[in-house]
Amino acid sequence: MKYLYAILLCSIGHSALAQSYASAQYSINFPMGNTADFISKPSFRGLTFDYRYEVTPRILVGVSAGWYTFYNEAGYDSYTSKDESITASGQQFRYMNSVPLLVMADYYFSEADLKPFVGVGLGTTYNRVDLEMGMYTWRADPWQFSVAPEAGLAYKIAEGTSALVSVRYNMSFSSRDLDSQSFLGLNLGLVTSLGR
Amino acid sequence: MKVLLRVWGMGMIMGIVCGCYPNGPDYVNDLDLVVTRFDKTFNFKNVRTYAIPDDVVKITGNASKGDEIVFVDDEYAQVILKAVKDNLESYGWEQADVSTADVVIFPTAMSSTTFVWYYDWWWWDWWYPWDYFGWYYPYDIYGGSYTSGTVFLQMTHREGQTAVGNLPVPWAAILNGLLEGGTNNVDSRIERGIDQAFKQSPYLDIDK
Repeated sequence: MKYLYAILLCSIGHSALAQSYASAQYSINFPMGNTADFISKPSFRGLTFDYRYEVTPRILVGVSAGWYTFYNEAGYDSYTSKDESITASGQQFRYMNSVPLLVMADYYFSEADLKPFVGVGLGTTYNRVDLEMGMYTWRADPWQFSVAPEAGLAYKIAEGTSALVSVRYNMSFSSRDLDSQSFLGLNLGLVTSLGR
Repeated sequence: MKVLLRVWGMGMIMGIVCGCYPNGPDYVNDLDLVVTRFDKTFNFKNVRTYAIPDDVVKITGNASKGDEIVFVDDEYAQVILKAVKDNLESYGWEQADVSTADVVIFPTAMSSTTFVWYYDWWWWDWWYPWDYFGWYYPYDIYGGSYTSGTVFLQMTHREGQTAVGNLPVPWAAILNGLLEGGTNNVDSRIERGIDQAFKQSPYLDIDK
């Protein structure tokens, strides 16, 4: 934690001089773990917005926000309570909307046009899980502590603009209302320089 | 490069507009729900005969406080009664007079109307400048009402009557759905729902 604090302090100190960047990414997310148990289909509805500024040419820190929608029509089926005394049958519609808000730190392995990088995000994710059956909805919508390691490539396509591809593993830890949720995201986007 | 950025920006906006509920029920019967509950301590092998009234009571008020009893229209009631009898008999039960039957099935029904009005004003703001899409009613505005119907089936066991007169209910089923569509459509959904209630209650099969 103290390293993160030090990085943030350095970042603030450098912010007047540092180069900063913004990016918008289209995100495809593949459910894993408990999320895959609830919704097995990948999500093709996702957006990620990032902001970074340079601490050094190879170390960038910033923030990331996303919105990812998962959906699965589970079909007509019967569900029985744990004590087996109650059974409900109907068409199930399952949704999960995930909104991560993360503080990110990236390390770039190169300063050339093609820059591989790794990063990690820490923060919170609003996970709203809806299970609709009949005219009723069961909902859990906690904010969960999240970690998001990431690896990717940025490629300079014009002065001040780069194409970005990255893979980010979003892991939200279990909370009182909802088990841990996780998914692997493929992000495709553009990064633009905001100047100094 | 500016064109690329604009196209990318529009794609992002389109993504936001897509909303958080990409799909949902398409047909009225997608919203039909059947719930059954039974008493695990009750031995269904010890009962064999049932009685059922000739009408289905419609829950409209509070009959115990003197409200007049209203019955469900016969075109629906007969579907409910026939479906219950057919299913019980396929499970080996025999109909008997109410004075001698082991259990009595009480079918009741109710309907309620919910008014809905919803308008997502962000939708209009997003699209207003784009004249070439034309003027059309944004789909995220809708208003009106829906009426839902519920059928309750309660199996009561006379011998288990408590000192204060309460009758135990070893089995109950609830069918819930939208009361939309013609009589034939509603009838077939009720029939299907009752069939499902018995299908998911195999312990009622006293011959097994």
